[in-house]
Amino acid sequence: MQKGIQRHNWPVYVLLALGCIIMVFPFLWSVLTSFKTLNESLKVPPTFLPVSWQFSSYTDVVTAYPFLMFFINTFGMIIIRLAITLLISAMAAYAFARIPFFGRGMLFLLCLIPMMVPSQIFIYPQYMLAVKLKITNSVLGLALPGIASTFGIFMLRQHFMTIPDSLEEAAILDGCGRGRIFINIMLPLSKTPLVSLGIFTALFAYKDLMWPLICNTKIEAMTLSSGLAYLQGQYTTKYPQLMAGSVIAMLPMILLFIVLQRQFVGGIATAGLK
Amino acid sequence: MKRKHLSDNLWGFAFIAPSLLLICVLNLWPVVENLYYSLCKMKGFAKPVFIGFTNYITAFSDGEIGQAFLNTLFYTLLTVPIGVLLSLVTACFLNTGIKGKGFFRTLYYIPVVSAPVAVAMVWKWMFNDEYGIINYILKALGLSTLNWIADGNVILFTLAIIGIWGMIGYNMIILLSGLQSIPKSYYEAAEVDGAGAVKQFFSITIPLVSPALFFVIITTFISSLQVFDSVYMIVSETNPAFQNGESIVYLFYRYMFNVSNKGYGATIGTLLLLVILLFTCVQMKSQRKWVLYQ
Amino acid sequence: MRKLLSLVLCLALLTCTISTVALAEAPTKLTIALWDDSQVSGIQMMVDKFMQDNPSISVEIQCTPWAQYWTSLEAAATGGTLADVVMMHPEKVTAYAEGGMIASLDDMAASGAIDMSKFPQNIVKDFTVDGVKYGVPKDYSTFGLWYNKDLFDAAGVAYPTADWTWDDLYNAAVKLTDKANGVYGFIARYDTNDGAYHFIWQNGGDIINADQTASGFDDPATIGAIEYMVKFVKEGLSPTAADLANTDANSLFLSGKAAMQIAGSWNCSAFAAASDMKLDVAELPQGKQRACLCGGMGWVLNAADADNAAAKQLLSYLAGYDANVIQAQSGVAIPAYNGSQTTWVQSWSQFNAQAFVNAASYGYSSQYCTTRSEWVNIESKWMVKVFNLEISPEEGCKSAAQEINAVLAK
Repeated sequence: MQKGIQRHNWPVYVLLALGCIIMVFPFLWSVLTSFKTLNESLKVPPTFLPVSWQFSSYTDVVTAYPFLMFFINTFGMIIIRLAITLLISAMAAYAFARIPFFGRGMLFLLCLIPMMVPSQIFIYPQYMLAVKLKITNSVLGLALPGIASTFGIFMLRQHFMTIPDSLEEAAILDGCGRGRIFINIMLPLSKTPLVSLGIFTALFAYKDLMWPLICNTKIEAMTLSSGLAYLQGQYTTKYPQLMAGSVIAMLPMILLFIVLQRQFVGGIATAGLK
Repeated sequence: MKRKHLSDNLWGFAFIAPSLLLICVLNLWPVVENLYYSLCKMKGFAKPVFIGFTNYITAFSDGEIGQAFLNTLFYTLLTVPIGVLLSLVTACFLNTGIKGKGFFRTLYYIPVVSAPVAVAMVWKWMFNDEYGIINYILKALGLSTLNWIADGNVILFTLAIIGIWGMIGYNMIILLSGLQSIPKSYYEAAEVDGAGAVKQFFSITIPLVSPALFFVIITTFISSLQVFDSVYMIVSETNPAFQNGESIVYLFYRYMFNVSNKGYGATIGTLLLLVILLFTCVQMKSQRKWVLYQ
Repeated sequence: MRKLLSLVLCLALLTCTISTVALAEAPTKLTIALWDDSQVSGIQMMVDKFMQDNPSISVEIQCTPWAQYWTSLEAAATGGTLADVVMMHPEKVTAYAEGGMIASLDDMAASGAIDMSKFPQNIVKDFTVDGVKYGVPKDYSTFGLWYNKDLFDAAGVAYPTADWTWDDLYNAAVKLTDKANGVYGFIARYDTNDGAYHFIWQNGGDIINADQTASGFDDPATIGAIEYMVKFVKEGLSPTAADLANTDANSLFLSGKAAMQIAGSWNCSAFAAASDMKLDVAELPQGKQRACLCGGMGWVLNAADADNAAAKQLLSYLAGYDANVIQAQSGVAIPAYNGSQTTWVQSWSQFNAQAFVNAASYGYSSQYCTTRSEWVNIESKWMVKVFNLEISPEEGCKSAAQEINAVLAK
């Protein structure tokens, strides 16, 4: 496949580049809009490039909102969720994929049910829980709903099911317990899927808008995306500021992806398996 | 043998316990609560009053719910096959030895982190009947233009395009990590046997990536049946295409907030759960036919 | 290990001491919840003045964006964490009052802590549930006929005045419409209380009857008003509902593609930002009578604070003249306290902002509020068809009335 494409790979580049334009266009648009005036941002037909480049939206947003706090809260939330979710999801996924225990199929389906309802129904009960635990207006409160992940369990289960039985059987013969197998064999083979789940956990945390606004009523306890929601008024949306804010908020998430996706190269193939 | 059974059961439950416990408290309990609310009349802050299946009976004679379900199903059947196929092709391209693949991957990932408002604004502009770039291109090619936003016959296609665009970045990540687990030696062996790129794709890539692909299909199916964001931002209630574009979750939200008829909202949520559960079970059963584990 | 333990103990002790000290000196803490980010700075000024006068009370503002405000408020109310003073919408007050979440203000009104006579009475009424007063009017919004002076000058049409009638509006729209350049004379958009309700009331019709038991849409006066509006759409003087779904009214207006539109007082800041255009506003043209929606927001008191002297003091301050004048200076919303509006008008000297204040004198209230959320989507459904020229106004209005009546009968 690799060589097949390399031989005449210019159509691939053309297709990928075309796709890129479509994928990146909205981002480009938000960058350009962030340099326009409010008035220009509402004009029809819209201008592509700003008539005069305004930088004030960026300074407005940065001075009006505690962006540093937004960053700290967002990353605090992401780190707590990552630490708990990755571990317990991998454990559950391993059990669902490879340990034959009573009621496995039904329990797995039960775990998937939360994915099948609109997330709105979780908000009030989770808020009541946060109030009882006295963790509203804190990073712990922010992290609460995302610490268990049905998405993660399902995703990692799919991965664990592709690992050959022979590896595990050999370990069992050697007298390894399930715990040892999980830590010494399964986890090291799961670097790529764990990294992907890490990206998703961070993404879901970053994108969540409703929960931070419900759980944390203080502006300095907001996250990046919920902080940006302030720029969407009831009547008029301050588009240039909103775009400026979203560009600032996006950058660390893109950076995170650039760093993490390096882990995609390699994976099992270079781990010397098979 | 019996001891192994016992130990498997113990280990199995021990491994799933933390997740299961948290999911029960955080997610499953609200689902059960919602189930109860769907059997109640709820107004404002008053205590729910049990009314049996009244809400369900109303729902089955409510034309708007029927229409919303049809819209959502049509949207899903349009979005999932095309979206998953495009995601798979993109992921395969981005997994080959092309130059600058890290760069390309990052660009394809950007839609995932874009602010929804920015996304909606751009698409609304691109689909604008008079000033939009899409109609501009159609006109330049001598084709007839469409009213993408306000025509009831077109709106679901418009939403599907936005949906497909938004899902590629997510699916790409999962499929890429699935593709990583395919040993390169398989391709090398196929190359020696003289198999072309297309043959390799179908006989090596698809079967070996099928567990990840299965996951992608199930999750995009579920998220498509729950489409909300794009509907909310493109189709307002003053849009003539509203009835043809309204999705089931949109309707759910309307009852949960605006109408404060929460019992009925809960009923819609439960019906959606049942539909998704049915689809998921069917897919889980049929996976044995095509998903290759280990 | 022992060292660590003692360190932890020390730290714990220290925290305890600090917190008890803090507790002893802590002023009474109050919170205000509101949804409008653009009002935060103005309200912060009000609160600062209050804290200066009452050093033993500290007040914190919690702002939640409109799209999430009601979810947040409901969660807080059910969880027992509702703010002490809450910004309330007339359509929501009934639920909170009947649910026992907010306190009656009748005692405060009787004792003179709040002088309800100083506010537009329709707004006071909006926040009265079953004869009990629950809210202090905070601000109100009215509507005006916004127009683009450049387009008027180019077409040689005289600017709108407060004396305009429906015929004047129509005749001007005919002259101002420039189909070749895609310029509409007037934007006749349905948009319930933002667009059509004014015309319905001006024609002597109504949305719903006084005791909210029957829809007013089959009233000939209501149908007549809709027919008048649809005439603009039919003749191409106004965009259709489909056109507006593609490009919203403010975008058309701010791009010079529409000469006139009806828009609320809150648009002053957005339209003032369009410094390259000459825009102004006049009072709405009149039909059989003058009418304009005058919707007000209110402050309500958490039921748990019914006996909290500090919270009541804050509310009483917010209901007073001084606080309203401070609010007026920010220019965001028209303050509700009679006489404090002059300051607001002065803050928009580039416009004829007095038109909005005048409109309050013939302001129609949103008396349909308690049941509105149950039928407004039916109304929307039919009116969008009418304004998209799919069905006649008469058919649309009668169908809407029929369906709404069925809902109200339940």
